Amino acid sequence: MGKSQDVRNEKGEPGAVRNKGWSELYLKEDWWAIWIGMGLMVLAVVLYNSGSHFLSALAINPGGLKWSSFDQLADHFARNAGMYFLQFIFWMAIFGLSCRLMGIKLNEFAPSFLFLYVLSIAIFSVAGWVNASKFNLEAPLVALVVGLIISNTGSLPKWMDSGFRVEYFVKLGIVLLGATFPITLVLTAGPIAIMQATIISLVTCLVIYFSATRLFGLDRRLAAVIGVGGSVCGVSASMAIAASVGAKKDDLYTSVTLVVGWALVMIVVLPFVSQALGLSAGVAGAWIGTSEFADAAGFAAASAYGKMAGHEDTAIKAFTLMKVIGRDLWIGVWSIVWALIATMVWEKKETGTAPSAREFWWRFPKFVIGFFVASMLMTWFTSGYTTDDFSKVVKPALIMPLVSLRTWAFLFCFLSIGLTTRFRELKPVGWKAFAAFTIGVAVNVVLGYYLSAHVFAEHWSNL
Amino acid sequence: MNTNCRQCEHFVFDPKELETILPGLNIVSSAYGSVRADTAYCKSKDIFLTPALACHAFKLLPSPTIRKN
Repeated sequence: MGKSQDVRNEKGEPGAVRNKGWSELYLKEDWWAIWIGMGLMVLAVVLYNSGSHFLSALAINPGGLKWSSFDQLADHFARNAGMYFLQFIFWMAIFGLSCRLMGIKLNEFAPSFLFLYVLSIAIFSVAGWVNASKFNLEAPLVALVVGLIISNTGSLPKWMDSGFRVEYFVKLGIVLLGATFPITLVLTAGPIAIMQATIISLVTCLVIYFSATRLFGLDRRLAAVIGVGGSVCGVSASMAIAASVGAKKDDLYTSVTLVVGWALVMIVVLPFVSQALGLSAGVAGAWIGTSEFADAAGFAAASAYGKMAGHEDTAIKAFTLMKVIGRDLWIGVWSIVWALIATMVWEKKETGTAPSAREFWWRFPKFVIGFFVASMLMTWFTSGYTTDDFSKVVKPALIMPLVSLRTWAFLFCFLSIGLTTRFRELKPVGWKAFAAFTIGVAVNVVLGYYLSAHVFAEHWSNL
Repeated sequence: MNTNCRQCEHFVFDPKELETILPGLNIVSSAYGSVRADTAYCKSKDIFLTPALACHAFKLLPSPTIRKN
């Protein structure tokens, strides 16, 4: 059976059957992240205008307590038990309903999310200890380690993954981040981020691809899948390109193992190396943005280093510019490029149908739209205030509750990374694929450091 | 009407099923995301693809329902 028939009908006619309807708006987590994130932002503005402090109370978080005795911690929870219960109901309602509409079973999601929420409170409490920073007990790192220990030594049932929606939580966090991210910063710093990200993505992808095919003789489909996995946006990019080049299950499975393995290493290594090198939060954020493979893992690393450096906001902003705006936006373009290569350079009969320019929109990470809209609306809303009024009135009453809700969403994400990572389930990878990917990682990390800490150092330091 | 992958038993399109056949996919990615678009997996050919017109390995789903996007 020849592959030429894979995408042709009985008459030998090629044909793609793409069905892009409105159902995307409720079946994809990107759109739900937009609806929920924008809804929360509008709610925050309405409550702020009416003088209500309800959202501030609902966004309660033990992470900033700086407690020094268990009595203090117990007292905090005793006084705020009702508000934590209300917060849990709030998260459960919005995530439960949206996940149900996406097809996730509620009887699996609900107990799983309850577990995640309780564990998140415990981790926030650890991070809220007055001496936490002395022992590097940053919430993202603690969440990752605790999650990994539980998932690899405990016996959590597989169905609980229904509540550990890593990507959904990080996308909501990014939309909420947009509400605290001035659009002027996106416009001034974005072009350099895009330029740096393009250099890195091109070089890394080509290094992995040619190492895999020329040096190690691996199949070009596998090479393409791991090439974009290591240079653009991890497994998500691999999955997009897998369809463009007609990759096999093992190809994508290999990419999963390589990306997850290196992403975990980077979450731990990059913050500590940045600390050892004395990098500013902006430079480290940009470096992490060029070197991490997935948004969720990168936010964990950037957030951890930002806390270490005492400038979490700057590290997260630099990371976002580099990773989300510089790299993620271009997945559709990469998908089209690889589909063109597959159909026009490789043997046409082996692969799928010729790509459409609309692929760019189909594969566009839609949650980024939410980030931009939230950024524009909040910049517009706050533009009428003086700097003094913004710091004393708007920031504590309007911005900080959204920051706290974002912190919750990110912690759900970081914990979910650990809880879903079961090393025994990952596919063993051949040494050739590992070597090709690792060469790309090495080039990426060194080049990313050079560009972030030398070529564009002034730009990122002054962010 | 031309038959297509969406009506085929070999075509794995459901996000939960995709995450099941590819353990680890949900760690730092998701089958519920926009980037995936309508990428699916063909059990017969062992390839990832977007829906296309039926090939000769086509096997009609037990139910006449065509999968939604």
